[in-house]
Amino acid sequence: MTVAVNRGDPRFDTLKSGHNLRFPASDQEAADRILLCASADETADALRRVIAAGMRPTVRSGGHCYEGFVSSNPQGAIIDLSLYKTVTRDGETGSYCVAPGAVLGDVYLSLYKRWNLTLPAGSCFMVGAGGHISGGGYGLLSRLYGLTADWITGVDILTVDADGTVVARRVDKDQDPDLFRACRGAGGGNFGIITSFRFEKLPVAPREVVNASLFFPWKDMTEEQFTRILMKFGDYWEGRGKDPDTWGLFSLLEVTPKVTGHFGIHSQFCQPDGTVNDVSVFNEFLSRFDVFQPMTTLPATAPLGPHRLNLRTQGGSPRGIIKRPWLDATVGDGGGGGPTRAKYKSAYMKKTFTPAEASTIYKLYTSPANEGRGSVISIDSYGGAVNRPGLVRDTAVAQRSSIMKLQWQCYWRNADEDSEHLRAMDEIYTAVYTGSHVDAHHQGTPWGDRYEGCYMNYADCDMLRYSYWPELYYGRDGLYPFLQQVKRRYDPNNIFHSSMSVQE
Amino acid sequence: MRLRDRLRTSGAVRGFGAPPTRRTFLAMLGSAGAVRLVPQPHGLVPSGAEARPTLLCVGALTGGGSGAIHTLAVQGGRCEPLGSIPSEQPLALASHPARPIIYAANSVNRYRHEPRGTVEAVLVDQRTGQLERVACQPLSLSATYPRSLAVSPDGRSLLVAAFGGGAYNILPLDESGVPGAPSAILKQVGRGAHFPDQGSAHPASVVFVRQHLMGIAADFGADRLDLLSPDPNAPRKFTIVNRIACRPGSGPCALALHREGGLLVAAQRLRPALTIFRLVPPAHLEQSGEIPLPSTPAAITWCPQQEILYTVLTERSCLSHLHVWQLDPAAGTLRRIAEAALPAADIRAIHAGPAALYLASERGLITVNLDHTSRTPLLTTGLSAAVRGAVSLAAVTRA
Ligand SMILES: Cc1cc2nc3c(=O)[nH]c(=O)nc-3n(C[C@H](O)[C@H](O)[C@H](O)COP(=O)(O)OP(=O)(O)OC[C@H]3O[C@@H](n4cnc5c(N)ncnc54)[C@H](O)[C@@H]3O)c2cc1C
Repeated sequence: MTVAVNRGDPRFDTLKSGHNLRFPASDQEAADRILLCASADETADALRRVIAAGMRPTVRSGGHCYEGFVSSNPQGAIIDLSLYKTVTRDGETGSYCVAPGAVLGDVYLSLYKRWNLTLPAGSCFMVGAGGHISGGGYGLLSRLYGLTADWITGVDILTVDADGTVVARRVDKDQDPDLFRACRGAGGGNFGIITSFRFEKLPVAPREVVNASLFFPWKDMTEEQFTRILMKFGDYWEGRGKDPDTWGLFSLLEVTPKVTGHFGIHSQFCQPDGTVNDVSVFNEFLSRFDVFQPMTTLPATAPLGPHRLNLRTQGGSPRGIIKRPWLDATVGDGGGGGPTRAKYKSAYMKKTFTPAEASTIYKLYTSPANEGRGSVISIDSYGGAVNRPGLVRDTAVAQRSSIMKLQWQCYWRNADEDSEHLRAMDEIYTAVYTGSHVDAHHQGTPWGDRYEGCYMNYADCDMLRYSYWPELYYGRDGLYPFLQQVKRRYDPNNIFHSSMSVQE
Repeated sequence: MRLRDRLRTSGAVRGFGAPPTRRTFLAMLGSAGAVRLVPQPHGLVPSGAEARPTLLCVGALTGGGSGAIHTLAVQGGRCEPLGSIPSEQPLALASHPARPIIYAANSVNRYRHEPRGTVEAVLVDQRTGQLERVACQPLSLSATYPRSLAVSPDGRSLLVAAFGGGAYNILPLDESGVPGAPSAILKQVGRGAHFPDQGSAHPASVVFVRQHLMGIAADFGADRLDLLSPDPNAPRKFTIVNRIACRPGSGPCALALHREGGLLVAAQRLRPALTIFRLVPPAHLEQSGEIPLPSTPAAITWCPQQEILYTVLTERSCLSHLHVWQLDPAAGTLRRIAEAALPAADIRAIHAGPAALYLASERGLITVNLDHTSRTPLLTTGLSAAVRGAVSLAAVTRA
């Protein structure tokens, strides 16, 4: 039975928000009603009622949306699928079926324990399949196995036709292939409510992995040295990192403000066969940084950064390498952190850092002005299997040439700090993408020869101020016009919309 | 006092004489029944019957995605430009029943980079005609390209039809007439027979029924009329209380509510026709007639004092036709009593003053003087080119 939580219900204040407590921005902005559904039928029924009432439905699975696309819904209704979280196998077709409310941690545990399989999805336990997979979904195994959306072979989705009738569809490469393609990475909240992701096959879960972290003290870090570290990191992914034997390597360079004491590189590796019998690729990568004499553990007094990965490292072993069962490395530490106020931005990079870019980042992150602003850049390795040819045509993810993906993050607690953090993030990000390394018409944004735009799962409404924002998220090769056609066809009344949804 | 009330008590209303036949009307107009435009920088045409001047607000598109709102003093067919402020795309205007404020439906699809239309509130100095923008209120997310708006008779709510986003918004108006964030958002679904024009819901025109505080809206995309009433427990929250289906593929695009509120005429764009409905309280419409039209209706309005309806029909050529209809209130039917060709094909709005009709057109404001007795057009017309790109009209009483 669908659970309806209306204003006045003791649960309302908790459930009106997702993970990002910035939204809803005020009581007026909050939805009027939250409908918690535990099955596809309940979801269809709830959707019917919301449409008939003339309300705007927003859809929530894991609640980890970066912007207010779900929680800012004045007078509308949130259709919440977090109670619909099964991970099953279709007895007839043999397909693996992931319900949208399943959180990634549960998906990993179920797929692994039942079938020794996995998804190359994200690293946060509590992120929901519904939004994550709709937007592409990438993680530590993506260089090895591609994006989660690359593995989808069918989607169950509820659309609303022109008359307002709710239509349950099973779409795949033969049935409504255009809608199917759009569901493979264009981002959630665009075309309908996905009630199941279907996978004919899935990659085998690695047996074990090795982890290592390298820490670079900010004290005595010169701009020249910082630039060399960033370029060494980037050069690897632009060069050697393209070789398939390295695709089991994932690495994250996390730049935190100088006041944190250190920044670091956190890495995980397994061979393409899912073992760590030979870690020479890993050693080869780590050894690139020997010249900087990094530390492999942090002094006990050092503040902990907001690392997104469960990369446990060990002092004593060479380069601090620690071997772990893959499942433990993936879900062992749970995580993701509780709800907080946050802002995020993203950038895909096709090439390594330029000295100018590294210098700007250095200046920003060593500037006393930015000390208290809590901003962090996660520079993730990318590419490998993600960039296999053909995927760009079959899916709705345009970025298939990048070798790194950057996530800019900032966290804080108090509402009265919102404007300061939002302004600072915007300034820092814009500064990094301004200069001769960005083409003249796209100053302030990661676009041009060196960049491939932004990631829809790291939605950032600041980008709306650029008239070409759809290009940043969907590229220039016709994907956005294609998505607009799909939108017109399957959601002609634009029932599913947000400030960044595909627009007519 | 509302403009129409003022006009009613102003002595401007004359008795309704016998309507001329089409032949006598054409004779009045001269050869071919065409109305000749007389360029009039200051709009000087023979004085009409209006005892007190009216301020006519004219929304205009000035090109390049921008627009303006102008005020003109109009009296007896004269019009004198007074004030002007920039606006975005003021595709429709409506005036407050008690305050010198007009509202412009800004037919845009972006507000601070988000997909929203907006409504502007503009204060009109009743003495000088100067304009001051007092608010720009964004509509709900995805309520884009608003095309029509109407103020409730109690002056407390503004009903907006978002054509692009397929939604109605109700904006609460405060004591001074300033709109707030939508207090009701009603997302519509539906389609008509003509794809792609009717591929989804497109609310196009809204009016308020004075006696019942009820809004009526024409949904061009879904071929229907929607009746909206306030929620008894939350007066600023409106809900749709009834829907009246129009003929499939008809595309209702404009509404005109007879001053007594009992009769509604809906102009259909896709199968050109006028459909006449009687309002059956509390919230029903009963069709009492339908008149096919030879071409597409572009604008429609009642004569404020009498049982006369004016429609402008657009031809494919560069002409429009003004049709004058007489209402038979008992039968709820209309009879065409006069017709005239207008030398413009792009007329977007019409306002009927007691002595003249004002037509918003690309070339400017066209004034068509009316015969005092019959309320049918006279030969003399004027063009005020000061308001080029005119698309919308609303009147405010002049102090
Ligand atoms: C702590 C944290 C860690 C993250 N780590 C990663 C990572 O490692 N890799 C990565 O790729 N991303 C990561 N993300 C981003 C994450 O993938 C996106 O925020 C994702 O959209 C969240 O999905 P959700 O279901 O949890 O969120 P929700 O807020 O429920 O939904 C997000 C969007 O998807 C829509 N949506 C949700 N469910 C459905 C559905 N069933 N059908 C249609 N639309 C739907 C919503 O309407 C909304 O627009 C992380 C985010 C956070 C907060």
